[in-house]
Amino acid sequence: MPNEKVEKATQLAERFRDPKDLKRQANPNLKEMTAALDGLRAMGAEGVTGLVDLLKPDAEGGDVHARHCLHGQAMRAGGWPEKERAAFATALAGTLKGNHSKQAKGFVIRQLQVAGGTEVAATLGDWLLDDELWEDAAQALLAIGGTGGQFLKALPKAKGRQLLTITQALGVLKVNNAAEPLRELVTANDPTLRQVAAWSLANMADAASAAVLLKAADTAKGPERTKQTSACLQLAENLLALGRKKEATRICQHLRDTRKAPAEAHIREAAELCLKHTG
Amino acid sequence: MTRKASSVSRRRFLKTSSATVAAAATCQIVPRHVIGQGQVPPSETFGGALIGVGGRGPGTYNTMCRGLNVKQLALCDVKFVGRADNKKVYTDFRRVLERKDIDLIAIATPPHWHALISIAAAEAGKDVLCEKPMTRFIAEGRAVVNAFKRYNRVFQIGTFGRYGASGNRGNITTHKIMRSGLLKPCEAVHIKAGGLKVKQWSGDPGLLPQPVPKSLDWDFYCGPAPLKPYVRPRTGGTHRGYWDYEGGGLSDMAQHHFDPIQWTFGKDDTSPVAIEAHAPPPHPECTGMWGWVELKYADGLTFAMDSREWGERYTRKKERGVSLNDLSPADRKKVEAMPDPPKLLSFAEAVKTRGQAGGHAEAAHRCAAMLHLANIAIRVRRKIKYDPVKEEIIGDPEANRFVNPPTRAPWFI
Repeated sequence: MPNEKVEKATQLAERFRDPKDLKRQANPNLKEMTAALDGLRAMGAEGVTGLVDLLKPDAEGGDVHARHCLHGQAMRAGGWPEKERAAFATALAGTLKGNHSKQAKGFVIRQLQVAGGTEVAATLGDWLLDDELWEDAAQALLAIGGTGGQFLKALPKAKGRQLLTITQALGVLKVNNAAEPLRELVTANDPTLRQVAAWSLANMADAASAAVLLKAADTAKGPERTKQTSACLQLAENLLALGRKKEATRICQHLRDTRKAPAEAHIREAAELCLKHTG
Repeated sequence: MTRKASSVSRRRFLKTSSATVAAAATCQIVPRHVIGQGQVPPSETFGGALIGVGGRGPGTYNTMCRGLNVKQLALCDVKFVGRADNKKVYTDFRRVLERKDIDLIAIATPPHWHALISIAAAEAGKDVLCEKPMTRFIAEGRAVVNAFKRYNRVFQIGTFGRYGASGNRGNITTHKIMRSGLLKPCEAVHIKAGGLKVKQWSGDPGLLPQPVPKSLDWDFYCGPAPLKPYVRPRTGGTHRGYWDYEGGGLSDMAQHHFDPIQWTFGKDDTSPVAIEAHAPPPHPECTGMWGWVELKYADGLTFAMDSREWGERYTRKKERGVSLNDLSPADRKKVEAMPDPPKLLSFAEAVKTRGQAGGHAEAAHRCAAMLHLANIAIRVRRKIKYDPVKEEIIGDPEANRFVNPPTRAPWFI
């Protein structure tokens, strides 16, 4: 980018806040801030890339104006005409290919969470397996929605916390064609992964997972038993909402008949309540 | 009110609590489930635990115990690393909830944990008193409501102004007029001006990352919120100034103010439909200044907040109440013939009778949702329309992202 453009973006960003007021945002100057954002908007893609060039690593600091300004613009972009919002997001996503620090890129991804659309899904998907930025990328893709394909693509290579994140995301987005690999994770060695996988299957109302989830709940102990049982009830409720009474009834009857301990009386009652709705 | 309860200093509370917990560990408590759900134990003694032992911890726990004989069996906080014995002192709330001798849970963590711990407590069969604000975002509130319905547990929010409000004859009349649905359109306006601690609970932007204290599990502290570099103000009360954990003075103080107002105007089961704010561009991490917010319900009722700390004052409408004179003579008779609303049950009464507490989950959720909508309007700085049944922002997908933002795995609602 020509230096004059960077300089213009810098000047506009500096108008964004009174340097004397850095500690607390005690008296933001709405007129100055609006003028800065309008000026940057008029610059188009160069206004975006110019701001991103001002971002610094977290440990370095000193970029509070640029961050505030870029976020302010991202929040405004949601109210712009769709074509202009998409152009803003595309320009922002384009900076992820640059040499900025990982923290700067993380900040950019978090702004795409606010202003991005499906036009930046593929770019964000490339970051799902990044050692530092996978959570930011996952959250942005989840906020945008309709991005199950990106998570499904990353699933086979994901490990550890990335696998947890992707498993949960597939449940949030109700990606039913991920059910089969997720069912295998319900019996994984990691108890946290088992619980996340069960919740995801319940959230996507995967009827074929009923037996797997009930078995996981029956055999688990301690807090995991509580969470797995909750997943079973949720699956039953979700199936009921879809009109699949027979499958929902089977789950609730099982819980009603097997949760005999006094400490699980509330589970029995919840199952009975659900059965009332199955007619 | 919780404020009185908090007159016990935190240091003193912790000292006496540790001793109480130790003593309780040596005597047998018959938990409620042993004699059947919904029954008061023979000793009428309940096992209690406090999760989140910060500034609001003692007040919240003591409030939970009012009218009940509670033995404190556990204290839990992510800042107890190196101190936890998993018998009396814990860092992981899940291990507390696993205990069968604990019936009642007081939650006084920062708000980004309120919903998840409340839901986990309901799943484990516990009753909950949860500090306000109830949630960090709107969808969490609905998840809490669903969980407490599913497991038939008692939930009470930690603000109690509605108990006083619901005993006032004028408020009862307003409540009955509003619930009758006969006032169309409703021209009532309630304005909260000042007292929302906007500047006081704004965050400090631009701080450089600091080393995490050894006693704190920072990853667990962040939990469902994004894992950000540690800076001290993100914890210890000043967490209120960070979007990741709360919504500034507005979400914190306004639930105190609007909870009784919401009851008085009969809006415990719905939400505003149009929200507009006057505010400067928001900071990405920190809550900040704003001027006013206006929230309109479908029947025309308007609530407004005027910060009196920045920008323009709220001048769009003037305060206006509701009276029987607003109705036709025939409608007035109908309202006068309506029975008074039932007395609100205290947490203790609800626990003993298995009834619904006055500050129940749906009411608390609707109040918190109102405040979240106000903050969304402040952040996006455009008028938003809300569907109170679907609980979605209409026609603005970017604004709607704040209704149910993603949570960090493995934490889900």
